[in-house]
This record gives sequence, C-alpha cells and structure tokens, in this order.
Amino acid sequence: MSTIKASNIQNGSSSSVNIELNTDGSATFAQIPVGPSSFLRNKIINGAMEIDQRNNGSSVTPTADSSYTLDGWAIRNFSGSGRFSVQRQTSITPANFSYAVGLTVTTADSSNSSTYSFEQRIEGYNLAGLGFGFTNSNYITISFWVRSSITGTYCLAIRDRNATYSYISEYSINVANEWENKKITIPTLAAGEWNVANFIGMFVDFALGSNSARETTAGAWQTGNFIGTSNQVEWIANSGATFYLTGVQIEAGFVQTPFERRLYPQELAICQRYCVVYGGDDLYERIALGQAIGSGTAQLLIFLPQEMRAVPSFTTSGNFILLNAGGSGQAVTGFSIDRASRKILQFVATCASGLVAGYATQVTANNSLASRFIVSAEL
Amino acid sequence: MWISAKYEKDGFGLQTITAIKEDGSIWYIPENFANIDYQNIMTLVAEGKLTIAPAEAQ
Repeated sequence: MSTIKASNIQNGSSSSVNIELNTDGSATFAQIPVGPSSFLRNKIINGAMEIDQRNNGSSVTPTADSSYTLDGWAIRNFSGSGRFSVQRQTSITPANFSYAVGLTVTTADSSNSSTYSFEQRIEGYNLAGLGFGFTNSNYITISFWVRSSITGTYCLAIRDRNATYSYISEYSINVANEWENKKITIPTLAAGEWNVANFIGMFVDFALGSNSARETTAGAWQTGNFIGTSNQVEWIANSGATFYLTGVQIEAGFVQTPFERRLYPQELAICQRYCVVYGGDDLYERIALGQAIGSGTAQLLIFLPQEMRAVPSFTTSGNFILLNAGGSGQAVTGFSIDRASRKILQFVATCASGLVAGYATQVTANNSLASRFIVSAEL
Repeated sequence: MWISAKYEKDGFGLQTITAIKEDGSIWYIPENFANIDYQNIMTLVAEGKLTIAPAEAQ
C-alpha cells in the first residue's frame, strides 16, 4: 500500500481545483457531493421557515417568554418589556428559499436589562451523532441566511439542556437590508447534559439583545447560562428594526453543506411531533369524536397524526360546539384534558345542556375559520 | 409565564391541571413530567411563585 501525497486533485479539463487536501487531514470539495436523497443531516427542524401551523403566515407579537411562533421556533424575552412581531413571509427571501421568518421590533427596549432571542430547542434524541457528551472531540457547523436593518455584531448561542454550558459565536451583519450567508463552526463538548431522550438536548439562540448578566466571551465553551457578548447589537432597542432568518442548518463536522431540502410532508410530520393545530379549513371543521356522558358533558378523542414527543397539553381559541347525534349544536362552555397519551388525546367538553348520554358526539368549530384547537408537546 | 392554575379531577380520580398564561390563553395540562407546561408550572410552584388551586369536589 502506498500513499499519494498531493495538495489538490483537479480534473484535467477543469479550470479550478476539484478537491483540496488539507494539512489537517480533511478534504474540501469544490462541489459538495449531495446524493439524490436526503441524508437527514440537518438537526434543525423547519429551518426553511415553511411550516407555520399556528398562524399560517399571519403576524403575531407574543408577550409571554418562550412563546412558540413558526413551528419549532420560540421567542425569548426573559420577561423583558421589549416586543417584536414574528411572521412567516414570502416577499423577502434569499435565492432558492420560498420562506423566511421576519421579526420586527414593535416595542423597543433600550434598558439593556433583559435578553432577547429567537430560539429553537433540539430534542435530545435528535442530537445523536453530533458528538456532544463524548470525549472524542468533534465539530458542528451552523449555517444560515440572515438579513437585518441594523448592521453590526450579532451572537449565536449554543447551550446544553440545563443551560450550564454555553458557547457564544459572533457574526457580523455587514450591509443593512441585504441577505448574507453565515457559517459558524464550534467544537463539541464532553461535559454537560445533551442526549437526554425526549427532553431538551440543546438550546440554539439567535441573540437580538443581551444584558450583562447573560454576556460572556465568544469563541470558547463557558460555564454558565449565556446568550451573547458585550458586542451584541441591541437590535431590540430600535423600534421598527427588522431581522430576517432562513436556511438554518446544524450538522456534524466543520464543512457547510447545502441546505438540506426535506419534502414538505416530511417536514410537517416532524413538526407535528411537537405541535398539531386543528381548524381553519372549514367553518364547522370536525375536531374530535366521542360520546356524551351526561346532558352537558362529552368525552372526546383525537387520534394524533404523529406520536408526540410527550403527553401533550392543549389550548383553544375561538368558539366550538358539541354536536350530538340527531341533535342541534350546543355551544362549548369549557374543556379539560382527560386520559391522554402521546398517540391519543382524550378530553372532556362541557355545554349548558342538550346532550343525550351515550349518543355519539363531535366537537366542531362554530361557524368560524378562526377557531383553533392547538395540541402541544413542545420542548 | 403562568398566572393561575387549578387542579381538575374526573369521576375516576384522574388529576389534571387547567392553567392560564400571561397572554390570557387557557391550557389543559396532563400531570406528565415530560410535558414542558407541567414542568414549568411545577417549577413555579417549587419557587413559591404559583399556587395550584384544589379541584372542586365531585
């Protein structure tokens, strides 16, 4: 067995190097050989911002910290007073992306007393293979498209499930209102808790403002719960400021490969492990089926489209009716969760009266496309 | 994040929680440790920042 020693490999008819052989033993391909099928290498879900079950492209301005917006993505304000809207949009996107998320400051906070970010929490199961929690050193590469009306230094934070360890990477937005592609490579960490089954494995935060309590030094693992550095642009302090993001990918190794394109049904199914939203397709959309167990009470079931991450909670907005077999609809006056599992949600709905015990009963939207039934097993 | 919470009990003794977030949304939550809403509520209870009202008698 012999060894060929060279720095580059180049096709005789090519004007540039095809494969560069690096001194550290790695190789850089001029064109990453991406096969016809997905390698499932992106650990981020909904990185192309296409799934928006809750709001379907409408703008929302959450007030509660950790409110989920587009599927997989939550806002963080750590109880600060600043607010920003979140909207899946199609008009401002980089080439080859149909969607991006657009954030706009609606209530500025220039106090520097809180921290703001746009966050994804990766489930422990999905971190397998990245190398976190093991002593053999490895790298991950985070790539994304970003655009903002405010230029300067921004931070990306990676934290373990207990936020005991943090790694802050700085990146620059060089030109206002232009898309820029960013690549960040960081080493994995043996310490910390990462691979914890169906619980939070990793926090990924795009910082939008930070206070000194959550600031540290970039470029190395730090013990503590940090989101940014003192160089972080206080984006949240600028009323009307915008921040757009799409094409977010986290993968093993230190090479940025092209954004992984999963088929829409695949991406939706992945998202529905964490959230399923009913309503919006029909004025009297059927949500659940069961039976009345009294004149004002019914027990109902939803067979969930995916096994959810955990036994889910649910919330509703808008109005619903209980439709008893052979009877007219009765306005729902209350809900409670009942026997629920990761596959089937059983709940109880109540109304003033009018049901017949033992009769088949449905919960439906009440003449509205705005009625929503949201089942959540988010991280 | 959570501004009030109340236990619910069904006729077979199953206990669940109905809670209200600061944005006014009402959530129906199982007593399941992997459920993030349940985790967050119990954290607030442990910190003395939230009390869960008892279920009404059946």
